[in-house]
Amino acid sequence: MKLAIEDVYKSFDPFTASSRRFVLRGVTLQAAQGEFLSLLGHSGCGKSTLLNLVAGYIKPDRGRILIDGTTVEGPGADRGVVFQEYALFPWYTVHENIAFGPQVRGVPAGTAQEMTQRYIALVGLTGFEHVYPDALSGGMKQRVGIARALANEPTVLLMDEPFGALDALTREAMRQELLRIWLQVRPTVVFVTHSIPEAVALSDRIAVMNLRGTLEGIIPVDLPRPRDSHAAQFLEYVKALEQMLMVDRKSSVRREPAALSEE
Amino acid sequence: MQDVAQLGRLRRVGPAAVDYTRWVTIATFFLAWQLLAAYNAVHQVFNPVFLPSPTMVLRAGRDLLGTGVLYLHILQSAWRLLIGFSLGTSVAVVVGILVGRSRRLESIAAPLLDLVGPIPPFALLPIFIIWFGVGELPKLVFIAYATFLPVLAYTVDGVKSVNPLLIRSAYSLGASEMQIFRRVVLKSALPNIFVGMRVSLALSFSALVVAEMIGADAGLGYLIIDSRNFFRMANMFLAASLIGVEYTLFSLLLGRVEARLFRWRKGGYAHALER
Repeated sequence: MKLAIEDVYKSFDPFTASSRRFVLRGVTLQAAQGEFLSLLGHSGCGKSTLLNLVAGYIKPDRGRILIDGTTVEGPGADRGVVFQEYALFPWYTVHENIAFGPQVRGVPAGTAQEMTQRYIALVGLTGFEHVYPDALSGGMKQRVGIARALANEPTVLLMDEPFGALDALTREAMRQELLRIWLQVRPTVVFVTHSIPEAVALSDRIAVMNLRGTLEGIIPVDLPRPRDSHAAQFLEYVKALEQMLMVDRKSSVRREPAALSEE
Repeated sequence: MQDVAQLGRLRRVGPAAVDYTRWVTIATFFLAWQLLAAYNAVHQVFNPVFLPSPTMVLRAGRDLLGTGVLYLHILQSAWRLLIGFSLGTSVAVVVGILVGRSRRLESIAAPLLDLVGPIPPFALLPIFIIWFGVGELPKLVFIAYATFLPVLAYTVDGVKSVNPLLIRSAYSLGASEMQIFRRVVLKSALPNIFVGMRVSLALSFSALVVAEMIGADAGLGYLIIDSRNFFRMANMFLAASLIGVEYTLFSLLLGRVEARLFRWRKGGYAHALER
């Protein structure tokens, strides 16, 4: 397994608190080499928290996270991250942003230059190398974000609602772009989203998270790519997932007071 | 090629038209001053010695240039300011980054700054002179000190307001602490640091003049005091004007550096609407 999440618990309440609310309680999940795994759930279900744990920005209270068999201790270049807010360096041009990873890791200048050019071409930004992020549209900014993360050739690519800030049309186009890039480079992807059609369109498997901080279920999407979002089978997946999430919403409302007093 | 040259010339028409009123204002100012001084010289509304005309100031400048002593004053002041200002800025940036990065250091530094911050630097000059003697050192330390506090405050603020997402993404790209400091924290705080430097520049010049008025033997501040002792009003006006010119030049230089460094920066009120 490229990525293994083993029985992870996470709370943001201090250890000394009399009752701690857990955002994640006992999540176990794996991703295989080259797999496209989505984390789907309502806002507040802990999917971004789980991604931040994998990225190494925060630490689990219990359980562990393994990349290629090695426990995650902090952030590192083996896990590339694409943020919803792009998080591009505004003082660097497109080229400088994408070259950042190879440069700081000490890749020789010539190789770094060649890699950067290759990923600029991959995301379709040729001709925009010397533009500053400020001058780019949201979709183009996120292309830079994707190229920057991929230029490091990470073991796992973590994407935190990468298209969340884009308008519907750009979002659809970027979905197809991501699919094309993924099929070409074949990285292992963990993709956080709250959009059911987006998860169905892209994923090999969808891990549905509920508001109790556990996995509601894992749904493998057995459809050939590219997927037609109007096809009957596609819509069946969407319907099934909608039902899973609806049930969750109802049950979690009922359970919320109980959850507060636990542990 | 010729088209490009033409374009440059055409584009300059806009700002030049605005500059026109600017020059009219300036010319009017000097003309009014000249006329007032000339009128007063004849009608003696007040003692004409108190207000020399612009031409008298220029003549004083020409005379001082002739003796070669004016260059010395100008260069002395410029050099002092450059050293003092650079020293104060560099120390403030280093300290500011350390303080801005560590919450514990900040809690130590904040009350100290609250303690010495409200004291105008000028109040401390005699103490500096006693501590560092009457030579060049107290003047440089004094100018550096006047520069230090505003730059420090702005640097700390800049470091503290670095977007944490940028730090996260730099870590995930494999950057080391040092690389994050240089490529993210410093770059992000730099516009703030420059605001601090702008604020400080005015203070540094005040400190320069005050320092030169007390126990110096050269410099434009000294020239003012020396001219007062001999009641040469024109020389006093000349020295004051030259301080203004030096400030303008330093300020322009700072602006040039900023424009080069912050090409990536757009926005603000001017970019909100196309007009």
